[in-house]
Amino acid sequence: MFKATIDAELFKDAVDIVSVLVDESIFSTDEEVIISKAVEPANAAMVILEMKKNAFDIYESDSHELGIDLKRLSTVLDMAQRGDMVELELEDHKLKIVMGGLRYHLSLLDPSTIRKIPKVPQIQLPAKVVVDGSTIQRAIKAASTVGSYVALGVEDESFYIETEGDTDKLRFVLGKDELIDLQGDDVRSLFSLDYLRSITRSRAFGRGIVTLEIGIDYPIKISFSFADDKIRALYIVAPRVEAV
Amino acid sequence: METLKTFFEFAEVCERIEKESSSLVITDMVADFLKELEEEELRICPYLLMGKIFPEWMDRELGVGKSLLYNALSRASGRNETELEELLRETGDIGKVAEVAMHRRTQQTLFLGGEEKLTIVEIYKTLEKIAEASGKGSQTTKVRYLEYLFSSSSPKEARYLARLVMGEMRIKVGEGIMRDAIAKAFGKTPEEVERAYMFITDFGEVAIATKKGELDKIGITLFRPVKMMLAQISPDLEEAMKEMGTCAVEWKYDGARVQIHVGNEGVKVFSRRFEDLTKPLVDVVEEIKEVVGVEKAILDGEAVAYDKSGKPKAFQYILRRLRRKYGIEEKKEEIPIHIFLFDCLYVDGESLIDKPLKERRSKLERIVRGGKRISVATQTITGEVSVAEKVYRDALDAGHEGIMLKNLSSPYIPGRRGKHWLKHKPIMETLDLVVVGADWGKGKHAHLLSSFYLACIDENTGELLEVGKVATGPTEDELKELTNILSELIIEQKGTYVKLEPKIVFEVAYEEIQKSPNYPSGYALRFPRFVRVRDDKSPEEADNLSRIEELYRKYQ
Repeated sequence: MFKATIDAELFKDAVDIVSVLVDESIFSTDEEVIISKAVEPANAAMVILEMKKNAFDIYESDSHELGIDLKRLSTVLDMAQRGDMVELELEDHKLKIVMGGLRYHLSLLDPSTIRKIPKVPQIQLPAKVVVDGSTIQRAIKAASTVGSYVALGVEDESFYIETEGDTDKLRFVLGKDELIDLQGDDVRSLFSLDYLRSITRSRAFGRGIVTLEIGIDYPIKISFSFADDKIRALYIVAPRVEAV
Repeated sequence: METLKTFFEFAEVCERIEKESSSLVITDMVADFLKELEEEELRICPYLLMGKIFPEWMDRELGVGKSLLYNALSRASGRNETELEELLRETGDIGKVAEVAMHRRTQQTLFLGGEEKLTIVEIYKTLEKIAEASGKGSQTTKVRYLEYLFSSSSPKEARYLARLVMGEMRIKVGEGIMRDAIAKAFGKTPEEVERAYMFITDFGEVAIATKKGELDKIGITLFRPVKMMLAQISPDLEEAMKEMGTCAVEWKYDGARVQIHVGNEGVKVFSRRFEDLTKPLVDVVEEIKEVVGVEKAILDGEAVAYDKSGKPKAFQYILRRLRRKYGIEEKKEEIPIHIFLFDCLYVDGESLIDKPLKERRSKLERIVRGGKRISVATQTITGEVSVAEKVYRDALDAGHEGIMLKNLSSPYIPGRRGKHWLKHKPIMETLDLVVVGADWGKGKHAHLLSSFYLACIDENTGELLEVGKVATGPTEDELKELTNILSELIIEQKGTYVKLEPKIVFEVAYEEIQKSPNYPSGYALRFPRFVRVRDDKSPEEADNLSRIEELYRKYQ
């Protein structure tokens, strides 16, 4: 059994967190939480979405693995009006979606055909930056106009984003007092802008406070939460190494 | 639980085969590999080893061009596309490009070393998904799947994956070796394997049946195209008639060969290359249902296009019509098509291919009523040269190619170019050869590819062997068009020479065939002359070495 009711905008924001990276994903439900873990095709970026029971107005569920075609689900959710509630229910191997007079039966994908995420890497990262999501969003957007990859780092009590294209260079620095928090050592890692652009594009990203955990030529963890911490997002992106 | 082979193991076998030059040793290597496979692997591996993903009869394509491949490879490796293009120009080998790119990958993955290697079956299933992706957004989907495959690959796997995807495997496993290897792996004779293959033209299915000892159960199957029976050339009609005795004489129509399958599910028309021509021939197809008086049949014939005066139109026109996937309605009236049926392979559950031509023909006449666009080809039974000559002149007068002489007691031998069918045409038999390279012209032709290196296929190894260079024949306009087509296929350039992807087949005429140590084939064409592009033929269908040997002996 799976039955849940949630604010449509909130649900859209949650789904969006996964759909910026992959087209299909498994939503695992149990009595307490819905979790979706997915890795993008090149194994270079992954996402974990967690929606707690109390993010929903009504939530009753056993353990299920729902294979979701995220593009289709997003198309349906786009029909929602502000203030709509969306009712979700597992019915005859389909996800019944009811909102504002609309009834939609979404076919579920066979979970065995969706790529499972290999083990989530357990990594400790030496530096942590807490900052407004919208600031990062702006910086990544600017960097994308210059190059195809970007360095993220901490140096002299400042956080920086820098990129170099064929012709131009860009460096964006935030001092400790412009950040919400900054801890740890000097670090620097290089990332493909492809992934960072997708991640920062998600709707909820720009509205909240984001934590970046960075290492030296190591993966980055990007996390944020919303709806009073009831919905959480974590991205991990593998670095690039300097070209040889 | 069965353990499936990894793609890494497959890549290692390919690498060993690539380093080997002896066909016998390669056959053994392939046989040993096939022996170890589970059924689901055996279905796909013969084709993968031959550098193909799907058997021809499926008429199915991956739909991945170089730019998609570069895109995926670039995303998986972190190397940029310009660098990959440069690498291709240097090495001329897409496999090497992928190998180097993955070796020098700058984009790290999250699960390095932790993830299990992909199996051959997993790779194949992903390739199937790539082939299935169509319509809006499908390019991105294809790139994503490829990206996944490459990023999960070691450099060596990437080498063979890229070659597979581009259809340039470069290991010498052709149909001959595959046939022998399947026979050897499962204790049958090559002839037994060959016979089954001609019926279902799928080495995967044939290998499974051979392994299970069910080879004799394979027969002609409705809606599975059968290789067509082919004819040998006979330059001298008198001699041919002497050899044949009383035989069936038919026009050799100037059209496109078609195989028609009629069943309860409907009608399907296949080309020689097993392309599905049902849609392009929709109006004729409708008539087939009316004129064929049985429920199930497989018929062999030739589709001919006519112009307004009732003369057959050149081959190019009919192909244009057959290739059209869209706009069928609008084209229908413009190019009227007529199908002449001359053979019948199967009727209502009974295979006729082992029956003599005489019997097949009378069956054909009994089951087919003539229609507006379909009729049974006229046949003259004679032992007289003068009668055959008259048929020949009539055929030429009507604008067709010549005549066919057919042994009345011969079975239908799929895929075989035997002596039971002879064709007689006015000119010296031309050769269909693969263009493998070209030279830029000089002076006012400097911007045009002006001479072309031609190769035939060694049917045992699948290798392309050069037989000469053609520079005469094409008009200025044709040269322009050839340059347009061929410059897309340039792999590398050295001075004025360009190496080309072997995709295009030329029909070439010549004065004679000579033995020559200068060309890898051992033969050279004297005074070769370009006739036309055979865009109905794939490089695999170009003439092979033994055909050149045969013509050499014949014209000595």
